[in-house]
Amino acid sequence: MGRSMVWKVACSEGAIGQNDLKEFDIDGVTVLLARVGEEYFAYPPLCPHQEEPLRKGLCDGESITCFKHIWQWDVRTGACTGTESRIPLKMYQVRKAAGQVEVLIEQPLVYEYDA
Amino acid sequence: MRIIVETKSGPLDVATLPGETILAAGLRQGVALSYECATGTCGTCRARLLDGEVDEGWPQAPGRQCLKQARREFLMCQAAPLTDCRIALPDPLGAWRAGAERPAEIAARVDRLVPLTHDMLALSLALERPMVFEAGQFALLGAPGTAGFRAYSMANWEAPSARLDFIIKRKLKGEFSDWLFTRARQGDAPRVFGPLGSAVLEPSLGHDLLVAVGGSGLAVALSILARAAGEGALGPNRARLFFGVRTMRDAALLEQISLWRERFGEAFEATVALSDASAGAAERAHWPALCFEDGMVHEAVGRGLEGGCDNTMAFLAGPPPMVDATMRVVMLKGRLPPSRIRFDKFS
Repeated sequence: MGRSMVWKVACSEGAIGQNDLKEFDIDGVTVLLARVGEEYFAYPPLCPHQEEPLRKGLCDGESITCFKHIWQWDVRTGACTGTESRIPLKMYQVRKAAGQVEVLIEQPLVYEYDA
Repeated sequence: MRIIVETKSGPLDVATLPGETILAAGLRQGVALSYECATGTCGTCRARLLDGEVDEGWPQAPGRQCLKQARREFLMCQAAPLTDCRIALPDPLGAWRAGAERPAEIAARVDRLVPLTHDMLALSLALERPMVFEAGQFALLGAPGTAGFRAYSMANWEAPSARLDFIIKRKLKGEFSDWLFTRARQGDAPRVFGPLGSAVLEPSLGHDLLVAVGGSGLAVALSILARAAGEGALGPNRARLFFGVRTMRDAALLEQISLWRERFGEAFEATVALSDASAGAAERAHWPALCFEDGMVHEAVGRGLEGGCDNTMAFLAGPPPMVDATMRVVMLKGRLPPSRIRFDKFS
């Protein structure tokens, strides 16, 4: 059975501080949320390079940086921005509804770590 | 043994010597395999075994946490082949830095051993043949007659150099430091493999330098400053050193650091950040060329960045939490992009 494509509540608005990165378990799927201003963005929780948890990295309002090898991405698009990163971040769709932050999870987004 | 390394641009051949790791053999033969610590901690050199058998080496290597057994992943820095092997890499091969010396095992003798603090000493090795290395690089050192290696950054720089200087911190149950602190004598021959590491100071960068180090990471600072001075970069460009220690009894080589200040004046500033106990008035008076601040080194760096840091290149070396905290500060406060940050996490 595949997962049905539905919007699921991650947290209430304001549960994440400005420029914070926070992990949420949404029905068994771990999602990393970033907040910039009143916008929220959602990604798989691990760095596409070497599976480092991105919650230990940095969001400065423009970029997300993983501290393992300073790979860096655009917080809004997931596109590689630093000189090091070679794999863009995958992203889930996010919306705000009735004071909640909701994430559209069809199936968990994963990277090909395979050698 | 013969290793076939499958890459996106086709297979490569690597031959290993008896007992040699796949990483050491590959680098020695000019194959730019991905690695960082070269001692089993970081997991950067993971690869997948397609055919053959390897001895995976150190069972408790922290870097093994990221390995997938089902995919037959292993750490190239730990693994020595038991048969001919075919392996695949998760990352494309890197580019060999132009002019970079290929690392190799080099014959060396202990030339000097000088106590620096209660748990650190300065080791100087005389090399049988000179080595060309970059400021910020490291070598693997092993006690004579043992198999294990530990990574230590060079504390000197000249090109080429017939001497390698290190700052060695005593480790509990550390085979190499145990040998060095208790049994090593002048003339002994430790095992040396190098040079290694990509957190290097490129020559002629034309940037101001911000060097933040913790504990024995001071070695990296000394090497980078020696190179900057050797290239004539100090003076036209500024260098700021932030040296993090717990207490004054951990603050090694303050005399040498003070001499840098005398030599380069305003172009060189040094701050000692003390996390556990302040410097006393007598100590401050004894080291007039140095600034002393209370707190962690990243906090001192944060205060130091208040005046801006345009055109700055940052070098960070020390324990991983110290490097990560400082990286956060230089990116958030200093707005330095990744291309202006080099780091070396010791563990």
